[in-house]
Amino acid sequence: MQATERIQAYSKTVCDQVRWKKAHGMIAEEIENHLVDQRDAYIAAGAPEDEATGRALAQMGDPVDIGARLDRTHRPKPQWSMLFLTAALLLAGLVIRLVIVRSGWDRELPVQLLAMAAGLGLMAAAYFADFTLIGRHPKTFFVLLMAAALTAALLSPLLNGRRYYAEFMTLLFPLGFSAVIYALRNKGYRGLIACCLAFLLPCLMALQVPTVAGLLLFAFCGFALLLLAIVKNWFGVSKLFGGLIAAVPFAAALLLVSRMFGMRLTAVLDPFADPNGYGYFAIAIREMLASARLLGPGAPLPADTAQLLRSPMTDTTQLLANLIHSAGWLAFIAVMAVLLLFAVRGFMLCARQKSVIGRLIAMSVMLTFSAQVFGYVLYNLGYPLMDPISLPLISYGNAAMMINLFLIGLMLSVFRTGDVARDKSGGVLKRQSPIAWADGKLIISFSRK
Amino acid sequence: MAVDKGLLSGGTTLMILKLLEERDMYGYQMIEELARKSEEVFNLKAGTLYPILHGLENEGMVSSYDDHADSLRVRKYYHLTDKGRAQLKDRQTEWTRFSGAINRVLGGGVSYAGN
Repeated sequence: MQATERIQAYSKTVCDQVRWKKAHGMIAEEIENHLVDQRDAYIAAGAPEDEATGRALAQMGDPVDIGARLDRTHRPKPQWSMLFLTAALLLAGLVIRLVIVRSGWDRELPVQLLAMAAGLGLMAAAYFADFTLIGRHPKTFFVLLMAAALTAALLSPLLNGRRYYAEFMTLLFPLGFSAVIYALRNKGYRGLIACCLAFLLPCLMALQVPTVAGLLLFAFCGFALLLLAIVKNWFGVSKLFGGLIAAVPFAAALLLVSRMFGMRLTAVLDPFADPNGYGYFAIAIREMLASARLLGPGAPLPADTAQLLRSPMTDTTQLLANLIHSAGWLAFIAVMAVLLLFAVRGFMLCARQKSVIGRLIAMSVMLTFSAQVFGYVLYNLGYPLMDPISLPLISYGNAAMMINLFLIGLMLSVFRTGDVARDKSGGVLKRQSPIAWADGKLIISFSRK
Repeated sequence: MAVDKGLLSGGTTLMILKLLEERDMYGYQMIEELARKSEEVFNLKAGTLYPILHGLENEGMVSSYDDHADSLRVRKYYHLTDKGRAQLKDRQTEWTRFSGAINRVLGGGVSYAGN
């Protein structure tokens, strides 16, 4: 057997003992590198290649024994705590919607349950899928996502002048953008500027829906992802200039909705200036909250506001305000505690990701989750700056429920298997020069990558 | 000179952490460095090293990254984390107490003669 084959056979025996196949590549590479280093050292000391290889293998030890020990270390991490919190949020949503705050609006329970089951199916599929696939075809992924969003916009029915289903597609935009950042990292200012141009596409899509909440959600998440990439030096650009460049498309996005947003802001600051227009919801929600108790149902509401309790918005955009009014502030605090736990744990696990692709995907999902919660809570505490998309897994909305469950599944897949994920072309390494100096030798590589 | 395995096993993790305190290294470097520093007393088998390193990484004591600092081949470097640094300090204190106690016993309590 050739020396190289002996080394490969050895590392294969080691890997055969490790049941988790995704860890094999990483283990084999490290073991083989070590054996080659050791063999070369023996050759340099004067041993013939065959003998050097044999000694290197003997120095490493029994492959079955090493493999068995590595098997104990390398196991997928199921993330029970995050799975438990997801289940808790789903359950809280069901209890709040079906028992505590009943909209009185026609909601078909079988359809809701079916959507939840479909969402759980999507979540399971994403959880067991190989998330690095997005890293292998990032541009295709982004283009397909944009095409899907466009299709949704074209096919979706119009509801209050809004392409209804297309709004929910914006929840996937930060994920799509994370793939763009991944594809263009290591490309310096050119890559960063290309990212900034790509940033505008989801913004324009959101504008076509039109959805201010969707656009702002993407703008904030996309900007945060870009800043993360700049701070982590994934583009290899100066942090100051990079940050300034990234701020340009973000500012442009804010400018796109500034007129609409400005009117909302004026109404939030002084709702009574336009009590039947933009100020209406701010006043109604503040009344609901003012009459709420710490625990138990709040005082009766004025007739005008009480009407809202039987509107379709009861369990979509205003569920939390209604919860506070019907069950008290403690119920709100309990829900927020679970959401906060989910966010804290999620961001902690994001920070532990070693691969760039894992970090980007998980961060995009956590940002999307947090931005939804933030917008929703702001609205429900009497600051309706925009119509929120959804309170993830809790508020009513079948499309949002399915998309959020899919995103969470994908993120958990990163947390579960991220330890062994490798970035394409060696991660964030400096691009390999064709001419290199190593071990006292000048090496010129003619291979094309 | 060969050293009794039982005595060595507790110290292996300590020595690995200590090596990484100075600089980031890949596995092969660690074995070479350990042999050099111990004047060839410790000839750590690579097969022992990697499972320990991967276990330490799982516990968050060390982190790893790929680099090809001085070679065309990509190598997996290990880095001592803050948690690992704290662990090293604890273990070092423990080891000093332990080896001190053994020395005192072997020395026949000479150091206590004056007490």
